[in-house]
Amino acid sequence: MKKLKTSSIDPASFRDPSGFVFRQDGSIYRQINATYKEDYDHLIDCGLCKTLVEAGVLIRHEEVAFESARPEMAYKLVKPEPVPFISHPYEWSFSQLKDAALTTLHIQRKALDFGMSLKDCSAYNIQFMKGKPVFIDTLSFEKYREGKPWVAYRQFCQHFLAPLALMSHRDVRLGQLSRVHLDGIPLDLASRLLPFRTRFTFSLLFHIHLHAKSQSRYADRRIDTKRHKVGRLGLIGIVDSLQSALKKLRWHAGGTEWGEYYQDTNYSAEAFEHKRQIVAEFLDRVRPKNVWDIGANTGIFSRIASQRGIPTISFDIDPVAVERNYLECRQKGEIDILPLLLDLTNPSPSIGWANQERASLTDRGPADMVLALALVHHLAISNNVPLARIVEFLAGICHRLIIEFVPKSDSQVQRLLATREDIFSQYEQAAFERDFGQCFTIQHSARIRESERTLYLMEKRHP
Amino acid sequence: MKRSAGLISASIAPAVFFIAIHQDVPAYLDAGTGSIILQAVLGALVGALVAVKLFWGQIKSFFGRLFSRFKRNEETQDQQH
Repeated sequence: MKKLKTSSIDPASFRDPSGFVFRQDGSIYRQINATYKEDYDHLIDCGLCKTLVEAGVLIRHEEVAFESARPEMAYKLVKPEPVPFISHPYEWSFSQLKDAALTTLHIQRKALDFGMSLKDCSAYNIQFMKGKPVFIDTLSFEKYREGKPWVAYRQFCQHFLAPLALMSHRDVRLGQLSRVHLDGIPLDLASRLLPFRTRFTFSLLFHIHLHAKSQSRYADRRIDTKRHKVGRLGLIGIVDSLQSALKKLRWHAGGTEWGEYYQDTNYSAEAFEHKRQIVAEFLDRVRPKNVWDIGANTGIFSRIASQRGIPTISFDIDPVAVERNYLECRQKGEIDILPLLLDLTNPSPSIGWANQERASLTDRGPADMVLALALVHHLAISNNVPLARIVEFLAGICHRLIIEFVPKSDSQVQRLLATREDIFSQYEQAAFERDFGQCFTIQHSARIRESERTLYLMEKRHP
Repeated sequence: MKRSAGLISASIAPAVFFIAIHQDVPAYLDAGTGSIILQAVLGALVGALVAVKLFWGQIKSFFGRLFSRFKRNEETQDQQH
């Protein structure tokens, strides 16, 4: 029997004593501890696991016959289907978070039908695979015991309902609070930030405002919680009420600076089409294993890659653009593109316990190829990032690069310079090629017709 | 001495029995007292609605039968008059 080493235990997998996730020879495994045996066996035997996997909402896994390196704790080892890219809830658009929440509730509702319940409702248990939210923690189920309240109810409200209510009723940017509050937005904070009118909505009144009041009222009191029973119908009612609360939360992705970007460019139709052709040609030359399109807007150029079956992450800073991108993916059933929210000037850092629980953007790379189209002038001029620093960053996140240089004479750059002094004497094409040449080999370049812009295909130099 | 030992074993035995049969894996999440109490209140409210929804067909047919019997009785009385 092959013996697995557990030296590379996932740094985010330590809270739940039911088991842990670890990496071995490039694959991910999950150890199920003996303490979780009864619940795991019930999950499999009662048919819930099969039902959820077939519905595409729970990750598929297979039991493997390896000997654990920690046999004193082990019951079984399983190998879950690999998740191509781990994303974090604060990188999701409004509808992505809402779909993740509804998937979690759907699973809880099904679990109750099968005599089980979710004991963990962290938003980090959801990942987007083939365009859909999938629950990835097989150890989050426990046998339902009549009268026992839902242990993960508070967590669900903090991880899903509170951010969604704030994004819908106050400001979509409040979704970023999840980056600060890793265990979800505290309900007292959500209650204070939500408009007063939300107290007149039954579900928000109970699940957020009164929930927050109840938490503060009973925070320091010793109460026999076993006396407070919640029947099965009560739990079903709570899940139904959360579902209807979520369905009523809406956010209209209206116009922003970036949301209308393609209606507001200086491209002629021919230049735009030519740019698409060059990007497609460069992709066909390289056939990368995966692509990160950084500054993707609504994903028009990301789709040139994803439509070739290349797994593509479509990043943008604008919540409107990411929302529109996701809605398009959902509507068309696209499986190779994942839109995510990302501020390149402040990318997702490593956070959580020991700064290791949630991986930074760079820790989740490098990508085989990065698309950086109509981006460099925004970084260099709007954000004062020197070209050499841009090169250094890009060299850290990819092996190959398709990048567009937009010269100062371009009307878009002129627009950026309209209200400020031009202190960017180094921002010119020769300097661009020289600086990128430090870390990359320029393999091809092509001038976009009817524009002053140039596209480059580059490969990272090996040190 | 014997008596106190008997008392101790009599009080420990049910506890041991309870621990032996109660195989709950300890929850690693703190459900939170406030959240549990809110669930108890909310569960009673919405649980009643779920019950009404679930048994709506039976409730309707019960009242349907009740009213039709009442109507039949009235009709019979009218005929007798």
